[in-house]
Amino acid sequence: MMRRWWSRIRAVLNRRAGEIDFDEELAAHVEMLVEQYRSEGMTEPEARRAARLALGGEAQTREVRREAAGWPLIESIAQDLRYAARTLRRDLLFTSMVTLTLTLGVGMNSGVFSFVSSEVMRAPVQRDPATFFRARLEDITPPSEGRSPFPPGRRRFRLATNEEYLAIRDQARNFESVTAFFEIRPVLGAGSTTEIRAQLTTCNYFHVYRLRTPLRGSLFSADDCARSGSAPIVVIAEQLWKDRFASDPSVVGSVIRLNDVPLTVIGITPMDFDGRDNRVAAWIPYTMQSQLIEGGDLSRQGRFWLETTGRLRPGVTHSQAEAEVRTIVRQIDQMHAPRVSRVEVNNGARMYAPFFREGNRGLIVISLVLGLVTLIMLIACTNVTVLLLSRAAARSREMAVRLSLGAGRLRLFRQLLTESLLLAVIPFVASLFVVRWLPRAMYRWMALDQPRNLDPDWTVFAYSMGAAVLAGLFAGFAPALETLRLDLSGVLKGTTMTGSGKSRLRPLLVSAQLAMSMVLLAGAGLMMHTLYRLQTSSSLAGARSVMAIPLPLQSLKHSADTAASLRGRIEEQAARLPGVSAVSFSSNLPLGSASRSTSVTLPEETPARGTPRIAYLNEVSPRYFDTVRVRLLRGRVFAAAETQRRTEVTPAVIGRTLALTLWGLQDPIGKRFILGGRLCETAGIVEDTLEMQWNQGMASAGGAYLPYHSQEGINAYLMVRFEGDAKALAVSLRSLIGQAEPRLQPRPMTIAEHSQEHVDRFTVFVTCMAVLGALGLVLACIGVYGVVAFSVVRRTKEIGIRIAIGARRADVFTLVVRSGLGPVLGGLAAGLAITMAVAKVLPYIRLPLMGLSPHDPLTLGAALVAVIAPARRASRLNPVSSLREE
Amino acid sequence: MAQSRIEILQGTLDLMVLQTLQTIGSQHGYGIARRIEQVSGKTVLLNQGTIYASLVRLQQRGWILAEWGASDNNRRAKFYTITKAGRKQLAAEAENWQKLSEVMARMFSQTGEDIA
Repeated sequence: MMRRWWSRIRAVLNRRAGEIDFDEELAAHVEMLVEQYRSEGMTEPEARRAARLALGGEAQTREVRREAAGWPLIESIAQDLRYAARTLRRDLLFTSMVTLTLTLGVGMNSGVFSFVSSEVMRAPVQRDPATFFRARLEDITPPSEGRSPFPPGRRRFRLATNEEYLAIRDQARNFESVTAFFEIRPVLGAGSTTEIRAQLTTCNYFHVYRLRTPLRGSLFSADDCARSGSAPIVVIAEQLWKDRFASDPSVVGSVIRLNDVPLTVIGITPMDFDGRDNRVAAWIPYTMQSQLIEGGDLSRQGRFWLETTGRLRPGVTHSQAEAEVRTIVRQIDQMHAPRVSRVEVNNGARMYAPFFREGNRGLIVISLVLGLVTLIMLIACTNVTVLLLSRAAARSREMAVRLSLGAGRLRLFRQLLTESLLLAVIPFVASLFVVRWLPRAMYRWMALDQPRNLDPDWTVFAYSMGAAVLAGLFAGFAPALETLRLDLSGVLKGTTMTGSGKSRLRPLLVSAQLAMSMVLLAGAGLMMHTLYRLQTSSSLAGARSVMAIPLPLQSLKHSADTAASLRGRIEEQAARLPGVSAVSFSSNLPLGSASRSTSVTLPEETPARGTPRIAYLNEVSPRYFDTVRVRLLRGRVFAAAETQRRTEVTPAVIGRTLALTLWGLQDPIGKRFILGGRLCETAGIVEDTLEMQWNQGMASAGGAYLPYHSQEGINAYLMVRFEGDAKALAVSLRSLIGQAEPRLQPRPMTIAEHSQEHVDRFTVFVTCMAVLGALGLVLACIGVYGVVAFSVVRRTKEIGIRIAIGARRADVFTLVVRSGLGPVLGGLAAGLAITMAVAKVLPYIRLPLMGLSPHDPLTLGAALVAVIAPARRASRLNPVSSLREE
Repeated sequence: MAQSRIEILQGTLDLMVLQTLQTIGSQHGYGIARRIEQVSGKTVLLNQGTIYASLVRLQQRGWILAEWGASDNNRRAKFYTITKAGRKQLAAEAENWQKLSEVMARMFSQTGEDIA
């Protein structure tokens, strides 16, 4: 075996020597045959001819032998590569243009994939990501039997109970360690209103997230979680230590207060600790839960509260672990009949998060984004196709000669494909840099927290490779076919150029390019439009003159009565401040992530079946509508009395969309519905605000406002509409509130400021899309220009003759434009159709996208320019020189 | 004429070459080709060139050796000799063939009644 390989390798290496050797052997053979035939009585020429026949051709014999001798495929590929490299070197300008275009396409595609992959596809830990797992539970109890707390028809992901966590930890053999945690937002410091993100964790948490030594102090020990309430300790993050404690080393060992519970700081985690999920600032043993949060001891009531992650034993796969956990959870389910749970053990990537799983939203978003960048890549490839096509024309004679000398068409085809694949090599190498650089740059630019696991892994590598190969093949396939479809005799005699027969390929390319860039632009346009609406919409434009101040009176443990009177005092005094025109309370910010939604049904409906309608809910005081300027369309808003006490039927002010959803075109005033279990009666209709549209989608039915009950809803925002200087007002509001309740030290911000982060992120995203769209359009126009210009070159002779026999410039111009315009219009039509189809999908993912207006005039305009420019050039042809050209 | 000639399989040709070298000893490409034609009574359709692919394969497997020598009329030619491994291989293959051809003969000699 070894020997055979060796001799093959030697054959490949010593190809030349071997072949010279063989030539001699073959010559001897021929001579012997000739002698034989001569002795049989043939003349010399006859004998030679017969000898060649008997042998089956000398060249063929050489080929046959060579194939047997070496690795024919590898050898011929090497030969193709050498040849291709030589050809490409000969035309450096062409090669670099093509390479640049492909690099743009492939690099961007791979870079974005790398970003997407680090953002949503990889385990969220930096150290040892392969063994990380997250166990997720889903309630799949059939609705008829269960008293499931979830609305039917949706994926019912849930957290784990203490019982489940302990069972998994103690019984599963596939895990090295299992941790669980629950996220809370406690108030830091006595009397402050600053919430931080904290996690109640099991005491092996840091082991699972691979933090061995803290920056300072120590971490939890197993004893800390032994008994409930026994360890009032906390580990804080370096960021918090810097921001709030001025990096004071004596913090370790001192006592801080979270939700007014004194906790001793025992350690500080370093900045790069990857256990944190987006700025978790403190970790507390989960056995401190009943001290830190209301609602009793979650660990005793079979409550779903723990998120479970951990590490697999070496060599164990996620699916093996999943099977094991499934058995354990099934046993527990049996004790809690009729509960049925589905178990999933995955690498903890964001794509498995419930938000992304709902209605396959994650998959759709990922494929949309990757689809868009792949479109750009294909547009770039099409440009390269055009370039290759024009070169195919220039090379037609070379190909004709090679074909007539007996080269196989298949072999030549392969040769041409090798060339285009070789063109994709540099783009591939370049993309390997891009995949490292682009995600980091994007995170920096968007000022987002970097995910823990940013370095490209093998999937990114494979993707780049795939993209490059696809690009090379896509760009080169059609030209290669075209090159070989030539009229041999015509080309050799010099009377025809390649593909001068009717080519359906080029117009098709133009159409495809325009269709692709149209889809791209429509996408980008859609985003821009959304952004525009976002920034000019009435509620947000006004948002700069509305101050929203959180009043977390609940955290200060006030009784409902004191809280109500405090709030009344603050409201009254705030209204008297200069420049203030309206003051109200609201349980939620008008725009932001802290939105509340709940199911909405009609009283006569049976609730169990079908997809529930989900409506937005905000509890507001009567003047809210004035403060935020939500226009009343019909009926009335709340009366002050209605906020004093609960009534059996709650009056509601609802958005127009909700009214339409519930009752169609009937008059909604006085009609009743059930919102989150409360029977409501429609008092008034207001215009939809952005927050309602923000969440608009399949299941969202719009928004509703209920009266803000001053006795109940305790944490609320104070909303203040003002004119004039925001800073001055902020100062007076702050001192006013401080006088009413010294422990409150709020930082008054406008609604716009509150939602800025939200809008900022989106702005960045939209800008990216717009840039991509513009890039695609530019590329497409270059392509269209190339195609039309090429067709002009091909028809130079014809045009020259036309001009010579008296065609006017205008005629030539029209001729070229007309032939160029057909495919342009076809492409635009196809693009429009695709855009419409895609637009149909968008609402299903409930992304914040509004209105659809593809900016077609832009595409058409750009395409026209690309057609007209070469047409003008054609009309100025000098007939004499053009006729001389061939 | 055309029908009476047999197209031969690659492996079969290798075997013929080996057998030829076993019977007549050291021989050059032309000699081997001519011998096969003679033995087959010209029923084998042979592009003499394909002999060389076969020779290369056999060499790679170490079943034959090649060296330059002089032909009958003093022409320089490459002569091939079967090796020990080659003989062993030939023996094994020949037995295989024997069995296979017997089976094939039986298969083709079967009539409908035999099966019933």
